[in-house]
Amino acid sequence: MNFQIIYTRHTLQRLAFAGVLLSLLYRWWVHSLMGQLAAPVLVYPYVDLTYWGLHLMNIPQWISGHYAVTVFFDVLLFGAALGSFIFTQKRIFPIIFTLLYLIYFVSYNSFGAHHTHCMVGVLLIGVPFWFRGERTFGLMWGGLRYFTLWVYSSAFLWKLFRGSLFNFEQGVAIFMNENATHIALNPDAWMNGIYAFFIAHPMLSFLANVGAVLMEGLFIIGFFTKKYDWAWIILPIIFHTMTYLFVHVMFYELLILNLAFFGVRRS
Amino acid sequence: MRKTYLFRLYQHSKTLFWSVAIFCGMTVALTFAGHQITPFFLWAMFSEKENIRTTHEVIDIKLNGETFNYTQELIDANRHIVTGSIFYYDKMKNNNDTDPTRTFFQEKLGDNYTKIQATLERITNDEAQYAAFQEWLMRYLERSAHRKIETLEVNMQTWAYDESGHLNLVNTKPILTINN
Repeated sequence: MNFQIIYTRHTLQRLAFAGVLLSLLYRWWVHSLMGQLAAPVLVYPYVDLTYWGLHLMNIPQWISGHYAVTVFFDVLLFGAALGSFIFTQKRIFPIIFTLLYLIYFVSYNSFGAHHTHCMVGVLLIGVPFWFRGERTFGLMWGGLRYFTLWVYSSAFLWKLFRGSLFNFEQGVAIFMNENATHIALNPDAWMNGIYAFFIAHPMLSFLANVGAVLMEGLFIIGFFTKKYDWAWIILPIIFHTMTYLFVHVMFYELLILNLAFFGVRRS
Repeated sequence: MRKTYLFRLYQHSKTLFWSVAIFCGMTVALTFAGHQITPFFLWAMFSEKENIRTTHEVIDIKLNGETFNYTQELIDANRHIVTGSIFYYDKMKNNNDTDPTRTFFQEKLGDNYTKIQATLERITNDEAQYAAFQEWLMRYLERSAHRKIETLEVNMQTWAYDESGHLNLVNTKPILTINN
C-alpha cells in the first residue's frame, strides 16, 4: 500500500503551529513556561556547549530572574507561534519562534537539571518554514522527514551497539526503575498489578523491551522508501503511549514530528 | 543517485546542501563521540545496559505535614522541574555542597581543569544558589500545588522490590525542611 497524505505548505504550517500552540498551552497549564518557574536558582549546563554559551551570556538566568521580562518572553513566544499559525506567508514568525523556543528549551532543561529530548520536535518543526520558495521548503521538509527517521533509528542503533537490546535484565530493570516512584506514592493504583506482573516475569519484560526497540529499528526502512510513511505516523503514537503507560516517560510533544511524513503539494 | 535527497538538494542550492551536510556530519560525529551539543542531539536514552538494582530512590515531599503526591498533582512538564532539581540539589549535598559538574570536570581533566575553572564556575552552581534553592522550591511548589505552604519537608526514601514485584520502604533520609 502506498499511501501518503499531501498538503500545501500553508496547510502544513497551520498544522505544525497548531501543534506548537497546543504544546505551549499545555506548558502554561502546568506552570512550566518561563514566567511560571518562579525564578529558579539551580542550573545544569553539564557538557553541552550550547548550554554553556547561553549561560555564559547569562540569558536564562537574566530572563528568569526578572518577572516582567519572563512575562514579556512568554508573550513573545506565544505571539510568534500564533503569528506563524495565522500569517503563513510571513517567515519572520517561524524564525523568531524557533530562536525564542531555543532559549526556553535550554532554560527549562537546565533549571530541571535534566536535558530532556521531548521538546526537540517543537524546537525544529518551524525550521523548514524559514525558507522562501516552495522547492526550498519542500527540500527542507524532506530533511525534517529524514531527521525524524534518524531519531528513532539512532535510538535503535544505540541499543543495538551498546548491547542493551540483548541484555536479559534490561526490560525488568527499566520497569523497576521507572515505576518505583509511582508505585511508592500510589500503593493502591490498579496499574500496580500490571507492573508487578511484568517485574515478576523477567522474560515478558525482556520481550516487551525487545519489541519496543525493534519498533524503533523499523524506521530504518523509511530511509529507503516512502511507501510505508503511513506507518511512521502511527508507530510513534503507539510507542509513546506504551512508554507513558508502562514507564511514565512522556514524549507526546515529539509526535509533532509525525507531520514530517505528510508530503508537500505545490500551492 | 540522482533521485537521492542529497543530490536533489545539491542541484537546488549548494549553500543549503553544505548546511545540511554539516548538520548531518556533526550529528553522526557527535553520536560516535557520545557527546551532545544542541542541536546535534543524541538519542541514547535507555540504551545503557541496566541491571536490576536492589534499591530505588524516591523523593518524598510533605506539604504542611501531609504527603504530597506529585505523581498525581503535578503533570510531567511541571513534575520534571521539581524532581529533577531536588535530585540535583541532593547530589550537591552529598558532594560537599559542590556542583557535581565541577567534580566531573576535575576528575576528567586533572591538572588541565584550571584552564576551564573560571568559565565553569560562572555557569555552575555555587553556595549562594545552593542556599537559595530551598526558598525557590517553596515558592514554586506553592504555585504548582495551588496552596499556601507553612512547612515543607523533602526526604529521599529508599525502597526495595520483593520477589512478587511489590515495593517496600527501607529507609528515609531528610534532604531539607522549611518552616514558613
